[in-house]
Amino acid sequence: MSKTYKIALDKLPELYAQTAENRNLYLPIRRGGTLNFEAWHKDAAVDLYGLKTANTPKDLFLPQSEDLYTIKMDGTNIEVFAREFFDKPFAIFGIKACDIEAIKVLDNIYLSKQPVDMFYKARRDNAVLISLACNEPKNACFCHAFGLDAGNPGGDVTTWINGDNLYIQGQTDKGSAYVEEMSGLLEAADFGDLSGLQANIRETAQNLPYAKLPLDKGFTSEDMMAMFNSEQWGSFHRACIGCGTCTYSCPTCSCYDIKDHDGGDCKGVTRFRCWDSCMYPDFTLMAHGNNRLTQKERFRQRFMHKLMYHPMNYEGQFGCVGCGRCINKCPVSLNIVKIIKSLAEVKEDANA
Amino acid sequence: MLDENKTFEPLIVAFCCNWCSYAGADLAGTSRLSYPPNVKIIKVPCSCRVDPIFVLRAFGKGADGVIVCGCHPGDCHYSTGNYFTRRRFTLMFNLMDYLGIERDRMRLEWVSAAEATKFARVMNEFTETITNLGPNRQIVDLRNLPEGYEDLEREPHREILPPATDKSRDIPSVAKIEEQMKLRATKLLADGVVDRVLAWKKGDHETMPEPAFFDHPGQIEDLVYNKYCAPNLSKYLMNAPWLGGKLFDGSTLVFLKPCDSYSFNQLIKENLVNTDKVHIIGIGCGGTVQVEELEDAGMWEKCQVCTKVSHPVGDEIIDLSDDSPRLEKDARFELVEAIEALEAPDRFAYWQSQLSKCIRCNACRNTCPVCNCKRCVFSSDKMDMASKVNANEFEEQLFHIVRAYHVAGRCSDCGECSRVCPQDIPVHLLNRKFIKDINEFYGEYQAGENIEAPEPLTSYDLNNDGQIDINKGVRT
Repeated sequence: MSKTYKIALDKLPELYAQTAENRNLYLPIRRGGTLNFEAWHKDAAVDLYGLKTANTPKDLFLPQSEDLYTIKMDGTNIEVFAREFFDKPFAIFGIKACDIEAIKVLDNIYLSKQPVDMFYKARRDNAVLISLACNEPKNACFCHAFGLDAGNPGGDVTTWINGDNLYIQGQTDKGSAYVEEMSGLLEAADFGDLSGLQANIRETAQNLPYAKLPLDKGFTSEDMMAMFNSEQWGSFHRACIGCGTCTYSCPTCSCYDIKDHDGGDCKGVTRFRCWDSCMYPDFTLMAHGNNRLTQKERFRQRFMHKLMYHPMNYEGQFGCVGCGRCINKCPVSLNIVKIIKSLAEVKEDANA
Repeated sequence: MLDENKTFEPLIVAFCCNWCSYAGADLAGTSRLSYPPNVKIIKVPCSCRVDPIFVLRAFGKGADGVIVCGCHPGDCHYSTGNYFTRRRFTLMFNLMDYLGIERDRMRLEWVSAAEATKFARVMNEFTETITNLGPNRQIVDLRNLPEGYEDLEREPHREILPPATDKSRDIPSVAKIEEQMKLRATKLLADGVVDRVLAWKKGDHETMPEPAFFDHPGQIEDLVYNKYCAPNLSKYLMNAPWLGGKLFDGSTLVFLKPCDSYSFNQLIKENLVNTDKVHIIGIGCGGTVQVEELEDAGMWEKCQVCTKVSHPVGDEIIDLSDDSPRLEKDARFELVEAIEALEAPDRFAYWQSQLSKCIRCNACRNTCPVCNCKRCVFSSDKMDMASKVNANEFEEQLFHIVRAYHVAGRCSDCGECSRVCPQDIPVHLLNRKFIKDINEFYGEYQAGENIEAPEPLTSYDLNNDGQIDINKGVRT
């Protein structure tokens, strides 16, 4: 294990400034009353104590809208211009365990199989992930159900707020290089200091209302068709207003649409991709129409994807990390926990 | 950045009505009157044809100024078209000003077919104004600008607006109302008066009740009503016959809080629900609360300043707490006034900091009871800025301004848009600005209160409307 360092909390602005010297730094900043990952500047209202950012770190790897290439037309002459890949190094500070796990989910989707997504890879290669252990997981958190440890969030560098100090530990080569770069500001610390803090966090996380979910019941590939055909979908979706908030606020939702923009001059187009949501009627719209005709099918798609299709494709890794944003954000109080519980109940009844 | 040696030549888009203003422009040409070549005319059948989205899109595509010209009031070829234009742009320009966008960039002028000199004068003046203002950088889609133009420099965020004073009060228990609701629902279902019930269902946690349909008396035990039952149920009835993908021909019992019943009444007014198939029970409400991390996080602002105490529509009323605390005066416009009091650059910075958080998830639109178009203009794939694209700030501005305008005069101020916003953008403050202006200019109006009352944007008052200066947004 690499060495542990610490820095006094009141010296953090110096750490931010030094980090930002060689790269862009993104961290939880409160602006207009909302906590989001935003670019650091010296007057930014950094808030490391807010538990969940409204947006997720995925925004930095999969921007809401991203240009892919441009086609210019001059008479009969057509030229295609590739977009340069993102090449500015950046660091994201303060990512919680759930969001670090979510980036692993995205890595699986975009990088684990050929062809890899070059736009995603370019951003991913330029990033240093600096995680932060949760100070206090709250009621809507259920990362424990997915086996995550909020007290040891991982990433390239892991940090903990312990008393008046921020403890820092490099986890990967990239992370250790970053810690080395910052070493002028850091002093050596004993990892053992954190055992009490970590135990507290774990204790809190596993006693939250949604910490224990019946994910071992009926979420295997043999159950897929039974789950797909479950009559419950007929009632689950009835409150859903199809707004897509759950997908846009989800750290693992990664679907995108591809569209063209004419650049205003009608002399070509720029092809770009933008976030899409399976909750929308035009999701995967094709020339013949749409596969999913009602909100029932759209709603089912989202949860089947998180709980069945993704684990089946990626060695049992769930497409949900238990961040609880959909619990906080859904306008009509629908969320994945309700779905997991209801689907598992059916399975239990069938077994009984 | 503009080449310093090159003087700024503004691009001005003029929407001219076919019958008067375009003819006026024509006469100006044949009379050899000169007006600047910067003005590009788009002919429309009537000034009333100009939707604010046209104006915004013109700006988005790089226009530096937009002017709308129509026949003089009273001269409209279609008799009354420009009376609606007048109200529309009075409110629209005021909203733009509220957003801190330079209002001098937009203008509305009446030019008749005979007024060639006026047409030339107006265009000369307007071009000069825009030249002095410089290029439009406040509301423009950067993708449409030629390379070399730089974005407006944004100032770093600062907290501009002081938070609203906390007016939250104790929320009385509504347990007795819940009890009555269950009794009535069971009875009406059992008697066959209704075939299903729309209410809130117990969630897996106290704070998580969800809107639900109950089909059998046996399910009614799961019905709940408490301070967490914030979702407005009225819009579910709009699509009720098709919910669940099946045609439903039976009748539905729906429970409506006072604010929900105003929305519902508005839907009745717009012929979007079949009242023969709905049994309405109005229920009392003491206010609803925000939920953060499954905990009560305080009363919603919309409830703190709620003035709706009665139900404008309902077959029955269940309200046991006659003495629940009510606001003595209408405090809804406190935040609107605070924003109005800011200087224009501060207003722009405030709204920019708020709207730039938008992720275009459409929660505000989908939950809004009066965002009830069968197909939203922002869902059209024929437009280069469909719902989910969020390439730059312009789309956020466009979406929110157009949405606010499209519900102007129909919004009952239920506050659902801000409640559901995952980024906590105070979307309802745009709608409230419209409500405030409508009240000031055209008389007090509460959408959803009376289905017979004419709506402010689809009616006119000849004695009153002419007294309002459209371009300045004040009564003369």
